[in-house]
Amino acid sequence: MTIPGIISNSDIVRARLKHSWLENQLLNKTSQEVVYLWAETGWPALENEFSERVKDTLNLADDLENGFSPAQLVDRLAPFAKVDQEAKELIKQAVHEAYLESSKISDFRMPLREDAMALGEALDELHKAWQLPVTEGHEQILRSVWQKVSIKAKALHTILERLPKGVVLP
Amino acid sequence: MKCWWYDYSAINNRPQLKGFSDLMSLFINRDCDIPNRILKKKPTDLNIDDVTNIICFIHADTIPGLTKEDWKRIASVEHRRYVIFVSSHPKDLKTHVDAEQGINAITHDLSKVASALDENKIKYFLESCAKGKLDSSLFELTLPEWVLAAYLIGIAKDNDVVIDENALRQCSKDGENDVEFWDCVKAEFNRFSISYRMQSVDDYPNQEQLKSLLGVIADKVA
Repeated sequence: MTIPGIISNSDIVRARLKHSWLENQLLNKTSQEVVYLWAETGWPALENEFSERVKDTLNLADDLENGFSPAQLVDRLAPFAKVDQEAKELIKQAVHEAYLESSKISDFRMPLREDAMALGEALDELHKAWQLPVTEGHEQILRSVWQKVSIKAKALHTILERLPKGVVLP
Repeated sequence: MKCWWYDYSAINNRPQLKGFSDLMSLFINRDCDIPNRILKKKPTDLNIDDVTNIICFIHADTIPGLTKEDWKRIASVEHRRYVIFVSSHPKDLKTHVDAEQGINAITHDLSKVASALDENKIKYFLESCAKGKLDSSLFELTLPEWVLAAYLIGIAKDNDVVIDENALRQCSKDGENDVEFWDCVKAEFNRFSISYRMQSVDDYPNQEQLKSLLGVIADKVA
């Protein structure tokens, strides 16, 4: 179970990626809107931000086991303040191993990495298509690439949705 | 950080929303520079541009002629200005939260939230605001930290970790006498168990799991 009301940094990152990035910047757009951005106004986030969000997702995957681990509570909870460091390390190790076993969190690591990289590749392709002059033929290319981005974004959204929403207790 | 308290329903500087007064008292009673300010000005009348480091608690259902959008304009993480809505219908506030813009809400019963706070939590919360990363977990109902600590120790012991019980002795609040870790756990567990039975299912979406967790802890502190 996740502990209500106790937030970890990884959960904040997960929530930002899922809500602020995927839902509010990618999944909320139709191909028509993307074509409009391409032809009329530009899309600075595509140029400047999205590659960083892909990196954030890969970092989240790399730190997945630690990010939601109850071991971090040993350093945060006041009742442990006077406990010596050696005992704290033993407690951390025991709860971390119990959590890894019960949560199967490690199973998410590779799918998360793969979906992040797949979306990154699709976004790179979109970025290239973005540089093309505005013509009907290029619009079809853009729509086709955008469809790929949407599919990959949905896949990543699904796995982010399945991640814990806070620190997990074994 | 300073706190401003907006409540048009206040009478003689005493908010009428249940729990709002308790929350305010907790912040004000801390030994820090937080003025007791019940403000009634409209956001449009506030000269807010030069103001930094404030947390505005706003009673959202008593704002004549104003919408939540009007109040949201105060928020600016860059200037460390935060808006936190409270309401007699806290669940309805969830859709207004935009943490990245510094807009939050207390979506649980205010009295329960206030009763779960202590000075350390408030200090941590204010520090998180000052850093530009408001940590709203303060306003979530959660397992008390002694209970959580006991649960983690229980897991460690189940995995053959030997813990010197003396290492768990705690300083009492007056700093003179040590107190037994397990006495603190029992006291907090009993308090929480009583409070937990009064919670609604909505307060704990994973209530069944929590019940099972409490059962495990009950065995350990028996």
